[in-house]
Amino acid sequence: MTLAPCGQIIHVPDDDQLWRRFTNSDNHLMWSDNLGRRIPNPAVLRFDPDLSTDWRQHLEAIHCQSPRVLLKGNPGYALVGEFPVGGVRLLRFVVRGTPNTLSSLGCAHASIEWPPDAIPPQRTEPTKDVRRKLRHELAQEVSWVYGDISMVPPEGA
Amino acid sequence: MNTSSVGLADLGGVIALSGTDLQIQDPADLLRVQYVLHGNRNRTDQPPAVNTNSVVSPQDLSRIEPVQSDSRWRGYVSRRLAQLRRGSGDFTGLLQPSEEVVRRARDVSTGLFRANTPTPSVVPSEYGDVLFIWHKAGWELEIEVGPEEVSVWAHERNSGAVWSGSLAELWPKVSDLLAFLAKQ
Repeated sequence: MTLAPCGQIIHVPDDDQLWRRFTNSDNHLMWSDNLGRRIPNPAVLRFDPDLSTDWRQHLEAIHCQSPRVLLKGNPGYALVGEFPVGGVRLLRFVVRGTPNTLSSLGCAHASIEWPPDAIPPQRTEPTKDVRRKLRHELAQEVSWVYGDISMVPPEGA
Repeated sequence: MNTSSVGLADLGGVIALSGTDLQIQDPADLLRVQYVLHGNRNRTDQPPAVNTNSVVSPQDLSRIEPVQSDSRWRGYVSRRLAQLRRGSGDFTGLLQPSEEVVRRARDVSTGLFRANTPTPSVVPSEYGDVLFIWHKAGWELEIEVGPEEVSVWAHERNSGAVWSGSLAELWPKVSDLLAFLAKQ
């Protein structure tokens, strides 16, 4: 495992994971019968212009933190989801370590960016249909690492 | 069933019964629902009491019991649309759909879904649309109901096939896909 000192930008390995907090609400979650579990509503994976996450291995190894740290001071959030870096890159997204000083653990900040080859010339993001496909695929990469989430499908699903 | 009348009715904004839950709801929440009305047990010669304009008074509530609808999706979809219309739940990063959009979503569900259509997820988008989403049998299907149009997007993971467009244009294709998903 490659560990980055706080604030230093290094390559995030494919075998690592990214964490992101989610709201435990029927508005923010959907049922995937393909996976047999709930996943994020693709609409909550908002790229502005990137999708903010935290680098798990940095938080664990350098700061001895668990996923719960993402929820501190954010009472609206009750779940932490995990993206596998390699899986996200297989979908052609770019994953970069992007440490910042906006918070005490901003050193663990990592970004998921739209696949460059999916962005048309003169545009800053893919077309609506491509965004939709990519967000559906990305949502299915999420596994839950913290929080109580119902595993029961909606009736009739 | 020890009841005297069974029927389908659009209730006029007073009560709605869905699945096995009795709910007091506003007009925009209402879908066609099945209800059972006790009483008049001797009037077995009468046809089922179906009155699409009927309003059930509070006094009638004690005489009505819910029955299990034969629809797979109706109870959940009705409940979720009512929640979206009321603004229930957290909308951080999302936008609550307008009453008009929720009503259009209800119309899409009642017009397109069959009784055996699998229950979709019903979620808002960041633009205030209502999304019906199925991830099932290797398909990803999304119907987006917005204030101006209803669009469809579908992706079959194994083949990589993707198709999209307006629901009006793709209605038969979507209907066939939902029929396929119902058998899975």
